[in-house]
Amino acid sequence: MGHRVLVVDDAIFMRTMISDILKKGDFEVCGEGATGAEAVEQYKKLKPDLVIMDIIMPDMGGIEAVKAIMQIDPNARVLMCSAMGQQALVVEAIQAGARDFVVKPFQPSRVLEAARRVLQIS
Amino acid sequence: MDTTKYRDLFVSETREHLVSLNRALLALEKNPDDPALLDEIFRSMHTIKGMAGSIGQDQIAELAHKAEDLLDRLRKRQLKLAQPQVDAIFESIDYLESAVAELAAGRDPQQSLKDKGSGLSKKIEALAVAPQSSKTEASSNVSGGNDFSRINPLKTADSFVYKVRVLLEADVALKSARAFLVLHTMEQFGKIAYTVPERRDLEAERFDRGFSVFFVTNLHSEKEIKSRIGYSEIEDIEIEEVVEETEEEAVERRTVSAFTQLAQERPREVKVSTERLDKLMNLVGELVVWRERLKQLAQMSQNTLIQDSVDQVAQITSELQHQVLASRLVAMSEIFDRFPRVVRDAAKVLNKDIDFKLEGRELEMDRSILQMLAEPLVHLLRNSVDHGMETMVQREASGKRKIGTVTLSAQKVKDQALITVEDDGRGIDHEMIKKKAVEKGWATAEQVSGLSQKQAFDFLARPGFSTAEKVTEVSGRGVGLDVVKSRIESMGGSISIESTAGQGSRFLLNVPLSLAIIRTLLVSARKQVYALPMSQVMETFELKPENVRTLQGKTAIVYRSQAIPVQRLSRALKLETEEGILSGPTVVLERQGSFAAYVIDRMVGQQEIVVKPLSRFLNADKTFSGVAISREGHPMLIVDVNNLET
Repeated sequence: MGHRVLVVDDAIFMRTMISDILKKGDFEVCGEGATGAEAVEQYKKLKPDLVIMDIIMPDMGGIEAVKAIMQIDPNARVLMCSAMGQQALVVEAIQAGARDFVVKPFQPSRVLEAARRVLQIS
Repeated sequence: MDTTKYRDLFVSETREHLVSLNRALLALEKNPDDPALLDEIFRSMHTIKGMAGSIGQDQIAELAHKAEDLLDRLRKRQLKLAQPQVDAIFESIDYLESAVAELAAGRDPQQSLKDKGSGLSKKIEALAVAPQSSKTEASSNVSGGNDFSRINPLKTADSFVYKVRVLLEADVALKSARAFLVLHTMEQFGKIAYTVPERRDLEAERFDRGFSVFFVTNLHSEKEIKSRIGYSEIEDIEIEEVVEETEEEAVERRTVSAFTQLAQERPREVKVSTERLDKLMNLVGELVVWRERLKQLAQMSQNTLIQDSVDQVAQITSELQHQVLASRLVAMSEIFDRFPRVVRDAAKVLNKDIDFKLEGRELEMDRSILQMLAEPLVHLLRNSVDHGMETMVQREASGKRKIGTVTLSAQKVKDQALITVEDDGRGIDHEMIKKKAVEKGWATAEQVSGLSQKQAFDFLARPGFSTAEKVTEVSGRGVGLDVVKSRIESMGGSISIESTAGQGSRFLLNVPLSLAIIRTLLVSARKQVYALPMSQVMETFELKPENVRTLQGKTAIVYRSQAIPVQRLSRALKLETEEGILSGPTVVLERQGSFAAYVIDRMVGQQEIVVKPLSRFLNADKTFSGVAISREGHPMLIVDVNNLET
C-alpha cells in the first residue's frame, strides 16, 4: 500500500527526519542516498514512486540529479528540498523537471502534503 | 440648533439627488452629446455642495465643488467627455453614497472617509485641468477589466480563456518559486497571456499571497485545470471563464458593479471589542496551561499515538496563542501620536521652545499595556518640559541651545519594550535629593552620604517628594513620580532614572510587550514551587561553598568579574530567617542592570505561564507579581524580581 520513496540528502540528520515524517505518513522509505550520484544510481536500481532530494549536495547536486533522473524516466516524480533564499535554484530545479518543493525547516504536514500531491493521492 | 434634524434632512435629500445622478450619468454615458443630462448632473452636484457646506460637511462640499467644476467645463465644452471623467464622477457618487451612509449611522465621514475623500477630490481636480488623458486609448482595449489585447493573439478556434486566481497559504516560504511552479505547470497545457501582478513582480516577490493568471487553453473543464495546478501550499484556486464583452455588456457591468462591489468587497478589517479579545486571551491562556499538563501526561503514558496527537494539539495551540497575541498588538503610534500636542501645549504655557522627537512609533505591543502606559508617559513628558527643561533665559546663560530637546523613544529589547523619555535640560542634582531626603526624615545625613546616584534617585519616586520650587500649571507640585512608578510596576515593568546635572535626564521604562503569557523558570524553595520570569534569569549553575566570600559583612560571589550578593531564595522570600547553606543550584537574576544570585532547593523546569494578578491584600510587600497554575494544577507564585531582597 505504502508508496516507495527514495530520500536523498547529504546530512544524515535530514534523511532521518524526512524518513520519520514519511513513515508516520504511511510511506515506505525504500532507499537513501547522500549525493546526487547516489540518487541516480539508486533510482535505476529501485525505481521508486517518489524521490525527495536536497538541492545542494556534494558529488552531483540536486539539479543535475533531477536532470539525470528525468533522462532515465521522463515520468519520474521528484520533490525538492530547499533552504530559505534558494529561490533561483528552486526555479531551476522545476525547469529541470522537479514536481514540487518543500522549504526547510520542515513542517511535517507540509512535507506529507507535498508528497501526496506529487503522487496524486489525497 | 438641532443638528440631528438637519443631518437627517441632508441625508434623505442627498440620497434623492444621488439616485437621479446615477440615472443621469448612466444615460450620459450612452448619449455623451445630450446637454440636458450634463445640466441635470451639474445641478444636483451644486445642490449637494450647498447643503453639505451648511451642515459643516466640508469634505463632501469640497468634493461636490470639484465635481461641479469638472462638469461645468464639460458643459461649456472646454473639455470633451471621455471615460476617465465619467468614471471619476461615478466614483464621486459612490463616495457620496458611503459618506451619507456614515452620517445616517451617526458617524462623521470627515473622520472615517477622510483619505478617500481628499484623494478623490484631487483626482477630479486633475481631470478638470488635464485635457484628454492618454490612458483613454489604452483602456479602450480593456473589456470587463480584462486586457484582451494581450489575450486575443493567443486564442485559437478551439481554445478557452480563463482567469485563474491563486491564493497561496499564509506563511509560504519562497513565494516566487511557488508562483513560478504554478505558472510553469500551467504552461504545460496552455498559454499565459498575462498575470496580475505582472510576471516580473511575481518573480521579484512583489505580491502578497494572491495573483491572477489570464490563461488560454484547449482544456474546457475548470475542475481539470484546478486539479492540474493543485500544488501544495496553495490555499485556494478560483477559476472563471473570461469572455470578451460587448459594448452593451460593458454598460450593464458598470450599472451593476456599484452594487455588487459593495456586496462582494470583503472588509479587510473588522472591529472586535477589546472585551472579546480579553476573553479570547483568557481562554487561550487556560488552553496553554492544559496543553502543558497534557504534554506531561502523554509523556507518562508512553503511548506514541497519544503523544503524536498531543504534539499536534500543542502545535496548533502555540499557533493559536501566537495569533491571538498578535491580534492584540497595536503600534505605539496609537498613543505616541498624541504626544507632540501634549508637549507643544505644555511648552507654550511655560514659554519654552522645545524640539520634540519621537522614535519607535511602529513598535507593536499589547493594547492593554499600551493603554496603561499613556498616563505615565504624559506625566513624564510634562515633567521634562516643566521641571527638566530650563527657561530660555537660563539655557542661554549656561551656553546651551535656546531650543530644548525632548525625545520619546521606544525599542524592543529581548521580549520587553524599553521606553525612554529624555531631555537635555538641567538634569537632577542628586546632592539636592539627598538633602531633601534628610529633611523629610527618610534617612540620616550619614546614611545618604554612602548612597550612589542611582539609589538617591529612588527617593524621587517616593510619595511626597518634590524639588520643584513653585507650583506650575503644567505639572502641579511635582507629585506623581511615585504614581508613575507604581503604575509601571503593577504592569510588571520597572523604571529607572539616569541624569547628569546640567546636561539632562533620562527616564527608562522597561515594560513587557505582551501581558498575558510569559516564559518562566520554575524553582523550588522550602518545598514550594516559584516561577521566575525567564527574561530576568541570566544564568543557572551549581554553587560551590568555596566560591562564596564575605564582603563588608555580606555574602557574595563573583559573576562576570564583579561581586554580586548571594543568599538563599527562601530567605529573600522571608520564608526563613537563617542564612542557611550557600551551595547547590543557584540562579543569577537581573534587575535594572544589576545582578543578584539566589540559592534554591532545586530546578523544577521551564514553563510558559499565564499571569493572573494577585490581590493587593495578598501582596502588600510586592514580593510577587502574580500567580499561575502549574502543570500539576497547583497554584504557584511568580516572583517579582525587581522587588526581591538582595
